Amino acid sequence: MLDGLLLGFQVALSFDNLLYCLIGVTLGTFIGMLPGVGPLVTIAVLLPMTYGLTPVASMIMLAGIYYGASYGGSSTAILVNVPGESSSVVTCIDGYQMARRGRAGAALAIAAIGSFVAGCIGTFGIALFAPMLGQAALAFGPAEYAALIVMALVATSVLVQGAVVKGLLMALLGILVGLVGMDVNSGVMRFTFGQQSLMEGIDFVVVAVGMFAFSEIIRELAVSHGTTQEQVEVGSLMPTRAELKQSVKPILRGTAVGMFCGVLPGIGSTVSSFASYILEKRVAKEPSRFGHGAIEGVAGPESANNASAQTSFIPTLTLGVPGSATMALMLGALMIHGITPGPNVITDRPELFWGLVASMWIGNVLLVILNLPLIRLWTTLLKVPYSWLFPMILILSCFGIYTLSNDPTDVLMGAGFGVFGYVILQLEFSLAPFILGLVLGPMLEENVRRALLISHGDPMVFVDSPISAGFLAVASLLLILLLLPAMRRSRAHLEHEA
Amino acid sequence: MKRFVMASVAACAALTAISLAVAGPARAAEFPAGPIRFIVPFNAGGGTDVVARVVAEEMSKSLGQPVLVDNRPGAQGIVGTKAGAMAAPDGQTITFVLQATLALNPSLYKATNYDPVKDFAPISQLSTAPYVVAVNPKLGVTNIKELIAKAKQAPGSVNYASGASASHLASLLFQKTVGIKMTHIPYSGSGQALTDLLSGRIGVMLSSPVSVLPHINSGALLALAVTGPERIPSLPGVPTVAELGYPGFDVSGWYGVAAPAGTDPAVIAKLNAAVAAALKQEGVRASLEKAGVEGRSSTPQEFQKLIDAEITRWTALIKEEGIQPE
Repeated sequence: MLDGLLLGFQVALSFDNLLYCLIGVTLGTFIGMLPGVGPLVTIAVLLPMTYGLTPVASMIMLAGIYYGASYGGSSTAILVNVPGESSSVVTCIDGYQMARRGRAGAALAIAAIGSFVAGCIGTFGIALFAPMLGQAALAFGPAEYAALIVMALVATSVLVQGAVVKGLLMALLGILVGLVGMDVNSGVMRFTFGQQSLMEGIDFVVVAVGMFAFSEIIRELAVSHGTTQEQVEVGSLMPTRAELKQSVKPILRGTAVGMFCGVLPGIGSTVSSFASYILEKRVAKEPSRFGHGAIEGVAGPESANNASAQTSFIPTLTLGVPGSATMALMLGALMIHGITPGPNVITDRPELFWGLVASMWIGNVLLVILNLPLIRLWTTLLKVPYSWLFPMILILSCFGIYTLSNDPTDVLMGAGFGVFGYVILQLEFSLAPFILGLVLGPMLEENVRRALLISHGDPMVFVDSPISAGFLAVASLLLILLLLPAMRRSRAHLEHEA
Repeated sequence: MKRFVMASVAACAALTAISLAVAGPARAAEFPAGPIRFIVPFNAGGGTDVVARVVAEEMSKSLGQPVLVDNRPGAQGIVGTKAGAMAAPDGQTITFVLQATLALNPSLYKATNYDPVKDFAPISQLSTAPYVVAVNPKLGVTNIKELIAKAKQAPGSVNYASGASASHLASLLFQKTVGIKMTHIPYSGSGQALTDLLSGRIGVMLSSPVSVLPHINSGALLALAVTGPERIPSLPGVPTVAELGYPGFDVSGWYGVAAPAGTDPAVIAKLNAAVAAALKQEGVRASLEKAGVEGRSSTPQEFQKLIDAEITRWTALIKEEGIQPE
């Protein structure tokens, strides 16, 4: 492995490859900031231009765009509540609240530091475990995914703030919105009302930008109407010692969660950031701080999404199984260069594999160098009066949503979700369960149905596999733990009555 | 006020006249009069998009005007294909057409709002791509005969995956031809389907050769047959289904280019020549092969025949299988 890493650094530190790495991460950071314009589109457009490069150089650049985007996405999430990437939606929740309290600089710095730490550990993890982890991905079938999602959903009940009924309602609404479109099993159209643009469902980015960015703008307009808006104190740029200390464990936990999710095809970085947020809230001493600017809510998810961006290369490279559309594109890029990914890629093309691994680490260093000085610049953005900032955010967001599929209906739908988000915020419902239902609900349905189809209707499939049985056991345990305090309380209540 | 109205009317009339002159039937001699818009009804980065971009780049060279790929995804390709059908028939807008949008969508989706025959003037086929019948070794079969025997033993016991409606229907036709019934496990995209095939949860998949080739070479999957009329160069030892006792069996996916109906035949001929020239290039053929398809051009008449035959065949199968349009 040491020889491999040495070879890798030799390859990655050559002038050309270093330059492509820099181009990749810089481009990634910027497209990461634009909602809607994600690494998928950028890589697709750049792909033909990489035909002339060596395979190593093209992979280094494309990979840089991919993980660079997860850095950039957090900046706009924290500063203006616009999730630049779907994986930074979670960062909006507490990151933006930190910015409102004048801790934007600290939030940005922690996001960058967390991403860096996660990137380093993730790179090391790939170097160490790639071949083994690749095989582990195969152990996850529909039944295992279904059990994993059930566990996540049970753990999420923690996310529900205030009235439980309100939280459940939002989660159910999220699931309903997630079901819009064609059912993959039967081809039946659900809730499309004969509308063509709804046939393939509602894009997650449309909902996220609408509910976070647009609804926030509406709310600010309603609040600051007629009054001079108070200036947010930017405060110290760097995180305080206490904040750093608070972030260490979330960063490490987030990295672990992210690495795990990244290896599994089809889970991806958005889910990993949610998982980390849920975990942080679960283990926190005062869960009530979450949603009001808890630094752990930024540190964990930001580390998780970067770690998963790194480890998602494992199944792609060692199995030839792409976990996401973006990874499928990467796979295509490799095949165009005549390289067939698979278990032999490490021995057949060591310079490619180790060069890419080493370049990821270098890319992470470059991203920190690029991002930390930019924090000062970004925070000055907050001094710009909202009346100037809002039109800009609106235009950029609309542009981003439109480019998803060049469809103006998406922009209108985003506006609709903006109003919906405003209304539910006014009614004091929380957004997180809705977004989670939207992401996990359809995944759960698809995997449960698929697992049952494969087993020809035998429900034992969910407990036959030790992995899925394990997840379900943890879920039941959580459920009992969750109900216990309630039972104790009601008993105390009864005793009191008596 | 009255004068203003008059002026407006005059201005409108003048504008209409100009736009009519511009949009009027393009003369083949002047074609192309500007950049050509090439509508691809799927997302950037997909298989269709890669093929379109490779061909568009070469066409730009021979036509002397840029051919710009315009991704108009949505509704299983219906949105983009409709946009292509509605464009002015001057050859300045061409559309990427394929089995799914022309031969399958009209009978699968009520939302299909174009007529695959009346709305388009075919230009040329671009490519053809057979499927590989790939199985996991854990299924315990090493050739088609054994697969048929196993599936007949307990109908429905063998699972097969599909990542899109085209491969689902190809699998249905395959089962009908060899006389077996397997259980369909649908996926949205072939990535996850491949994971489950590799792990053995799924036994069989009709897949594009390019995505299963590395796994066949490593021994993780077995190739039992190819569904095209001939063996494929990358798997010379794998027989065709037709060779195995089902003469005439040929199921292949295809891509092509079409202009809106009513386009001047001389313009179509020019575009056809540009496509044919592009597909003759070694580099283009190699790029297409890496994208998983084999480059193949045709005359507009040949392409029209293929489209007609495909529509008839799949419409009949969809009806026979009792698949209701949604």
